[in-house]
Amino acid sequence: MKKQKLIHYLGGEVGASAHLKESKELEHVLDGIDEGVLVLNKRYGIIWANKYFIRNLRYPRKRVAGLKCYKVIHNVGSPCRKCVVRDMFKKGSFCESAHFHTEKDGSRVWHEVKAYPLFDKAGKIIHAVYIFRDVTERKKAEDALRESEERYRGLVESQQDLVVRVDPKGQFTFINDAYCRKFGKKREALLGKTFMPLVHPDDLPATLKAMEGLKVPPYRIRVDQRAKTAQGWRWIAWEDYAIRDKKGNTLEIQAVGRDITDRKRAEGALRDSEERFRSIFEQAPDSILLLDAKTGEFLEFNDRAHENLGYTREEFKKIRIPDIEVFESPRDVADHIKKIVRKGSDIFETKQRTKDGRVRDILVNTRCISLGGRDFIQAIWRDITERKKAEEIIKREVEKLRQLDRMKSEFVSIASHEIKTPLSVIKAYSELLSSMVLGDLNEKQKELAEKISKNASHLAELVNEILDLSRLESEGHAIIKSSFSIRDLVQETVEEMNVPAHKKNLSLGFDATPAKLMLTADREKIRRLLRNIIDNAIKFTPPLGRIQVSAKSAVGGVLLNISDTGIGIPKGELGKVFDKFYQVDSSTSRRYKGAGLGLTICKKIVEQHGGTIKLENMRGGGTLVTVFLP
Amino acid sequence: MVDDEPEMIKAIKIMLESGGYVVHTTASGVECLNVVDSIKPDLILLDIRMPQMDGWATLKKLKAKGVTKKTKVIVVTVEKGPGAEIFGLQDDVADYITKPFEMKVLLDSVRRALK
Repeated sequence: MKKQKLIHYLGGEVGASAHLKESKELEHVLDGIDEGVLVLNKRYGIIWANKYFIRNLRYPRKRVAGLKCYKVIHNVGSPCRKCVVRDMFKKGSFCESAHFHTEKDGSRVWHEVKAYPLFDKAGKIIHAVYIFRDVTERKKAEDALRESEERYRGLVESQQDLVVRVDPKGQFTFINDAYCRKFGKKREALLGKTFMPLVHPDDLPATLKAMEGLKVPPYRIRVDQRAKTAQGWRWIAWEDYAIRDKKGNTLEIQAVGRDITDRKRAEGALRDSEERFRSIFEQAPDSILLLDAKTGEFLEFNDRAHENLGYTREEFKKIRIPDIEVFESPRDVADHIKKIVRKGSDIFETKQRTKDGRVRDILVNTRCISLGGRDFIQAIWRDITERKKAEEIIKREVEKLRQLDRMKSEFVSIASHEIKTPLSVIKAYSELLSSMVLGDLNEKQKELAEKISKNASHLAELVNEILDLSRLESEGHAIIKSSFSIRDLVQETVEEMNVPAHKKNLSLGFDATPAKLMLTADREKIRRLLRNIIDNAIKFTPPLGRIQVSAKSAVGGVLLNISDTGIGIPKGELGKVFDKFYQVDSSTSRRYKGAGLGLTICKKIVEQHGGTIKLENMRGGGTLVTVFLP
Repeated sequence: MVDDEPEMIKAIKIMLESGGYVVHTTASGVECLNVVDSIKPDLILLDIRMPQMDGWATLKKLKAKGVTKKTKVIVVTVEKGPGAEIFGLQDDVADYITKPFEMKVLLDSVRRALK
């Protein structure tokens, strides 16, 4: 349809040919606006369409004229029920609505539509002016906004974090579900009330003070507080944000909170633990240090570390190990640190020089630890100067004692020889006297000579025992072990001791023992042991008595038993029998000659072999000696 | 007989002479070695603890000499316990008497050695 024709048509119909010029101007205006304009006849036929309409519906202008608007716009066969034009015709006045129509490509286009009536002179509606605006973009934006708001609301309501908004007075304006659940309260009960009663009284001042920060950039604060929740007092960490108007006045404060009670507890436990370790670190009697393995720098150290060396903390921070090390050169120290890193740990002794030049002995215990790809040396320095000194003194004293012991042994050895030589002369001459080789003696003289002889022998025996004991007691006299048949040894000893036993009219017997029962010990000393015990038994057993020796295998060694039918040992004195120079009483010692060293020597021998010796009185009289040798 | 203790020499000399033996005494090992060639003893009584040359050294030398190679030797000493074994001379010792000793023990030992 031609424009001219339309104008004419329009003008003609409305009878406004006088306003042709005016109409043209109107047409021009209508073509320029961003809304679609249609002029329809009462049968919905298009009489005129403006440029926007043509462009928007993508219909060629010449084909539009005469077409039904519902066909062109909605592609339907009749006006729909919601059609504003229809409504307008019915109502006889202005109508508007919004609707969509489907484009050829299937996309939906939203239109805001309006319909005006055009009247003839008689006031009858002859045309309809249909104006539409494409509001698809606005619609889309509105939808997007709504969706976004819904999403946001869902987010706020569904999350575990507490979300609230309060007005500048602190009164709740918004509370999410999580908050209601947390505090066990209904939303209605909180809205309009202030949050303050829910905060722990101790934390409220700090909270309010922190909220002052919302008045200045970045209008955002963080505050931890205890709050009265349904589960009791819980720690909540809040992030508050001030929502402000264009002028900068705070409208509301939005706060997001999270329960951090468990984290707080863990932090507390960690802090406690750290405090405990720090206390150990600070109060340890040793110096504890942490070194950077690369630079040798003291990163951390307790007070003991610098105090022990006479430095202040500040001074100590600047020094390095070579500054205090006495033995090792800087290169040695570097090598040593490398070695510790390689080995993982090292314990060694060194010497350190204090600030005032004293040298201290230090026991160093190190461990290498790797943190974040860096190597650190953890070192504990123990000042062992005093201990070293004490050790040195003890060493010297021990050496002195050893020397004294050697001197004593030597003295005993020389003295005994020197005593025994004149004793031997006395013995020899008294023997000569009593043998009457040199002339006759009367009975009394002979008796005296014999007494001299006997006592000389006794004295010599005593000297021998002292010498033996002295040798046993001196460390150097080690035992020479060999493996031998215990039966053979006992047999030999018993045969040897049979001579003195028979002299006293005693029987000395040996229980049968398998020859293969072996003992690993110092054979000579065990012989000595047996001899001493049997000798003792002979001494303290009256004539016609019996002495019995037995040897048997026992768990982990050999058990020797020597029993006699002698006088036994008074009950209260059993514990003393191994004492030096012990004899049951002075009267017995006179009767039974002996130095009182025999059992002491026995005990020494048994101890040297790691065995045990026990003396007991037997029921019915006599003594039983039990020796265990491993 | 060899002993550095004069009183001991005297006593033993009397004891042995009472048994009817001829006793020649020397006061040291050196003196003993010097006289054995002329004396040619049947038995030697040897003390161990002596100054200069001790009994074991003397015994070794006596055994090395032709004249005393087979002569029996009785060791008479204050030492108890092992001695000859240490020097490997146990086969060269006929008897071992510990001082102080009984006269009877000495005379029995000498008698046995000279049998």
